[in-house]
Amino acid sequence: MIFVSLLCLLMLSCAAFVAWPLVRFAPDTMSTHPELFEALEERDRALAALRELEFDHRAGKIVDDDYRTLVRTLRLRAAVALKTVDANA
Amino acid sequence: MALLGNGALALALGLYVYAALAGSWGAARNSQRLQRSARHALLAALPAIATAAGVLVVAFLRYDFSLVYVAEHSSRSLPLAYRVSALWGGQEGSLLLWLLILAAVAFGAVVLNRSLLERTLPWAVPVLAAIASFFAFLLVFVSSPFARQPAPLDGAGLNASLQNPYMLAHPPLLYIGYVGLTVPFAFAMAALLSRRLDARWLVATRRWTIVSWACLGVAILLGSKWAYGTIGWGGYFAWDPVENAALLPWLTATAYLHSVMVQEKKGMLRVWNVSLVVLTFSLALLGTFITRSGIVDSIHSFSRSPIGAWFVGFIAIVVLSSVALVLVRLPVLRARSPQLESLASREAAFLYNNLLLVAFALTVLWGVLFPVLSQTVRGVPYSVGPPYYNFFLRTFGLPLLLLMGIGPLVAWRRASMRSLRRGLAWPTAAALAVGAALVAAGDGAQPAGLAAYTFSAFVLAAIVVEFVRGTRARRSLDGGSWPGAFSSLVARNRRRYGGYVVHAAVAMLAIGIAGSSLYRATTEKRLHPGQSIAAKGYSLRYLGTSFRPGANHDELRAVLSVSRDGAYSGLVAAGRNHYHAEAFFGNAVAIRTDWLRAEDLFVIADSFAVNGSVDVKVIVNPLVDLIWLAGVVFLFGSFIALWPDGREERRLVRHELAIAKVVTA
Repeated sequence: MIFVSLLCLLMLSCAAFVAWPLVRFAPDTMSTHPELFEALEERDRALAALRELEFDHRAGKIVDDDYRTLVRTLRLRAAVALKTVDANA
Repeated sequence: MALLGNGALALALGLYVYAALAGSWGAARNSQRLQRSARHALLAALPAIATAAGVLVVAFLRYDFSLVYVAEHSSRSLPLAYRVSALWGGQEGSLLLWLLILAAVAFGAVVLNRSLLERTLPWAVPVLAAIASFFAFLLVFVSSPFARQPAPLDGAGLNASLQNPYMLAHPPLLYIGYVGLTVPFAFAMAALLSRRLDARWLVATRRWTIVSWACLGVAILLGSKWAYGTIGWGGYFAWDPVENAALLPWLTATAYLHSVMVQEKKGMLRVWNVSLVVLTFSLALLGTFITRSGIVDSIHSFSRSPIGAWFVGFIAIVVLSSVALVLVRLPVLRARSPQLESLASREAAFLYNNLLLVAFALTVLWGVLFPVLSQTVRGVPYSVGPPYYNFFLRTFGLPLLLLMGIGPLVAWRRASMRSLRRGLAWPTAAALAVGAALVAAGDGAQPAGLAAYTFSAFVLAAIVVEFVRGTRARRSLDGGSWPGAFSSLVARNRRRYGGYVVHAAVAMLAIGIAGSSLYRATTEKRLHPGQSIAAKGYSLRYLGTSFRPGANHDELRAVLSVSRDGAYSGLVAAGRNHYHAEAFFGNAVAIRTDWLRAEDLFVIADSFAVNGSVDVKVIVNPLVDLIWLAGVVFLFGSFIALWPDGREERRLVRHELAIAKVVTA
């Protein structure tokens, strides 16, 4: 009998927990803006790549000539990403 | 009790089916009420399954032999710890453990990633629930642990091989490894279904993937340690199908952990990463199937079972549906994917590493499935043995080892010859020095061993160079002391430097495997009391037998005195155990570790005769303990890599807030 009672208690608790959002949950607005998210991601990637390049250069993995070429490209990429974020925001 | 257990499992099945259906509907219709209700159903299933597992453990503790599963896997004389571990001693209990871990993992993944999940991946809940529904269905309708019978006086006992301390930890860790891989799979499918293929699903699943991968790795090593000390053949990995089944998802998960960094940093390899996640999860399912179905002959196949057909069907559904989904989303996955800038770059090194890992995994998979395929096509189950696997281990493993040393020294985007030469100078010098020393010491006769040693030296030197150069760069950027710069270096990129520690563990593993498999010495002889056997500087004199009765087993031992280079160094006792309830004889080997010489003296005693004679086999295993030590280093590196780094999650939450601000403005 005790096991039946325990099982009933478990079932009722689960049912109440599952039903709760259906009767009491007030939905909020779903904020979606995939273009802005992608732009923020690209901005963060570009800035992280610049930091990584600086670190690799200091660690001796990138020679000065390569560093100068790459830093120009990455700065340009970061600037474009920042502009895209501003445009979307 | 059985009613409560069965009822709790049926409740869990109902909750999962509801979560799968309501969650899909809610995600497709963007109904947040249904999404939340489905999420609650997924969470509520955990206490239901925990109740069922608790009921089974209590039944074992109370010797409730009216449950068929308890009677078949325990006895009154079984020690307490093994009565608890008997939970996973058979198929039904193992499936219940699988489902319990899956419920806990799903619970954790949903609760801990709520801030990311809230708005991005409502599809993850129905995918997780659909997978859990399958296992709950098996437990309710096909393979119930709560089947009843008239209670016998005593049970049949637990498989004697499982009455070992390593078996208390190995199966649960293996299952955490297998089951944890459900999380990256579910989130990848959710990202595909919702068309949100940005970095969010990678961040949400990263820690889960590392935990699963680390557990799987440690479980494989614990299984090897168990085999080494219990099976009694002197080895630790026999390329058995069940061992291979665990290795397969570990190899592809390793590939994924590397390639995912390329996607995070460069936005590349999106199709490849999603495919690797699908492959890894499918291999985890295949591993569970091979372990539990007994379809392939293995020392681990404890029984043949009726769940095979269900598993094949489920794996087919998982593979076909996920491949179809990847194909449908190919245009989105390929959009804005940048190209590789140079073949000499960090990302290219990751790509080579991935190709080698996946190629090795596929050759192992072919070896595992070959008996089944040959049985189907030719009617005879041909199997491939260790020479097949060892050939491919050398073919793919040695280049992988070398690449593990080169990769970290190469910069992202592209590396010039000048910088490469500078980076590789010290590791190359270290490798050449080790190679020359080995040849001079007369250990150059084994080319594979020599290559493994020199490549490992290269990797270890490369790791030291990376830490030194990194600390120097950090100090030049931030200033401060050397220890401060070192700790800042690791703290700022735990995944990278934790990964290097794991690389060191793999190099130690390679040295241990090469040493113990290529340079071991074996001697075998039938001995009468007073006679001796010699092996590689050791001399063992057989003194006689000893017998000791135990609670659930008797111990018969051959006692030998050990001398090393003429000096007495103690006694060893090897023999057999007889398990009463199980009517089973198991090996009890003697292992004596010499840490200074870095070798094991491994003694097996068998075929005891009434005249006191016994077969004695002595193996001297050099460097084998480096394998177990590598496990500890591997665990340490994994801890560093998965230590929570809130910066990235905070960054993504900031993005969410920025988006919310724009949308509501």
